[in-house]
Amino acid sequence: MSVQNTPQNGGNKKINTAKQSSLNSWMWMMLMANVVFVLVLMTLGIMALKVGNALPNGVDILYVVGRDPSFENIDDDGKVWTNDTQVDIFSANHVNGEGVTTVVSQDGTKVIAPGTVSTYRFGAYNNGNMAIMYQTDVDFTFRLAGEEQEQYEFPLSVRLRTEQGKYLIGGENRWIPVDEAVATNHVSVLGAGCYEEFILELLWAFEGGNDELDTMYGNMAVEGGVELTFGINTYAEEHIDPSAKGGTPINPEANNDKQEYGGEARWFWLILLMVNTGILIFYLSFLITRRMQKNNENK
Amino acid sequence: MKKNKFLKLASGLLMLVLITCCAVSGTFAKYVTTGEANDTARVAKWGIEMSVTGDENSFSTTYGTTVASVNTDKVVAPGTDGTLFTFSINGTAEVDYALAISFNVVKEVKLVAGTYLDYTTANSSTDTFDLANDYYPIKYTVTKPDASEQTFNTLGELKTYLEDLSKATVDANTESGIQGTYTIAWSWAFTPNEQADTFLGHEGTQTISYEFSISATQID
Repeated sequence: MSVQNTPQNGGNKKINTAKQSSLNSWMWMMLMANVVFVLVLMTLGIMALKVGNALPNGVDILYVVGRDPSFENIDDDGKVWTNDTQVDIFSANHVNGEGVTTVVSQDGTKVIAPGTVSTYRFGAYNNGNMAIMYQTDVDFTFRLAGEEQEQYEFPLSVRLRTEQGKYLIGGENRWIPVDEAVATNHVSVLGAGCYEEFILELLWAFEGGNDELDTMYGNMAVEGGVELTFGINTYAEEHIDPSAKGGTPINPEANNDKQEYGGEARWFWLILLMVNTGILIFYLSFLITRRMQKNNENK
Repeated sequence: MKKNKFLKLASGLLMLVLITCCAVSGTFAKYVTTGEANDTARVAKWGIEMSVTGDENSFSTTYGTTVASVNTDKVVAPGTDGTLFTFSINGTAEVDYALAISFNVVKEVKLVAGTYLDYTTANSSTDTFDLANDYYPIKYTVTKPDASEQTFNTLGELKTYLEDLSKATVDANTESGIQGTYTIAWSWAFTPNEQADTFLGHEGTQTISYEFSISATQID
């Protein structure tokens, strides 16, 4: 029994072909629309970022603000930290609690002695429009007659705290030996346009309990010299959440709501982009698969 | 053919999207910065050097061929002399410090004013002599760093002189004012008071002893 090419059969075949052709057209149209939409999102994002970077701080376009990172450490003398910045943690003279100068450098170089407390104030300033996360650590080097010592017992202790009294190293009644403090790291968050100030203190206790050791170092200072270097290091990076909070506003009167890198619009844009890219990939995969199937049928 | 063109076009567009993603990805790159600050200091110099010598040999068991102890006890007698001790202080410090000198008179040879048996006569059991004032037979002479000398009649006077050399505060990078070496000598003259000397020698019970210390301590 043969199937004759009746007008009814030919009609069904033509209808199926038409339906398939219409579906393919819709698919291609959706694909094109999706591609265009993704490209538009990309373009808008780039434009917003480029324009936003050129905008004065606080100005925004549709709540999308340009990325403007800025973090720096500045001490009380106004010195900005860069790489290997020489600052004034120590001094050439020391005054005791009664205001009497009891330690005086002979040649003007910085000195420490039993009973001296060296205090250094510095701040971490986030002048940018995004939150940053930063880490602080300290390091200490000890030299005898110019030779760096790997193992030593030196009676110097350290404390590090914020201006608000939060101790990062040591405590109100607790000093940490410098060789133990080097392993301590502090991680903190600074919101956009915020700052945090720190106070570093280095103490050589007058009644440290080991006069012999103190006197030995004092005499060694005459012979070959006893020298030490103390360092503070900060490492800052963009916070995963640009609107994260932390620190004290540099300018409390400023509208910090606008000082966000993108804010909520940024996340919305990002989600749209990801979704549409996913759809685009789905379309392409579907079409490619159908194409391959058709080729196989033709063969 | 038409669909092949569409496929190629879509593929091209996808590549364009991927390239654009790379360009935009720079906006998500992490901003990082580092700051390093350090300072160097040296330990302030101390360098105060002090020494006391000869105090273990202030006295002796023999003095030439004319005086000799009958045992191992050290002795003093008219006509003998020696060096009590020598002390020195040198150096300047980069810190304020206090200089403390202490001289403690433990025992001193003396005869207080009064009446004593006179052992210089044949009737020593009844003859007496009078001392109007306290008698200190041993004299002390301090030779200062500048070679000048000063003599003291008693250990008490010597104590006052030495302890007055102390300084409550020596400022950083200044000399103490008593830099150098001091020598304290003693002597018992042979002839000043034979009756008192003979009485002391007849008794043979008095002793001379002292304690001396010098220290430098940083001031907080």
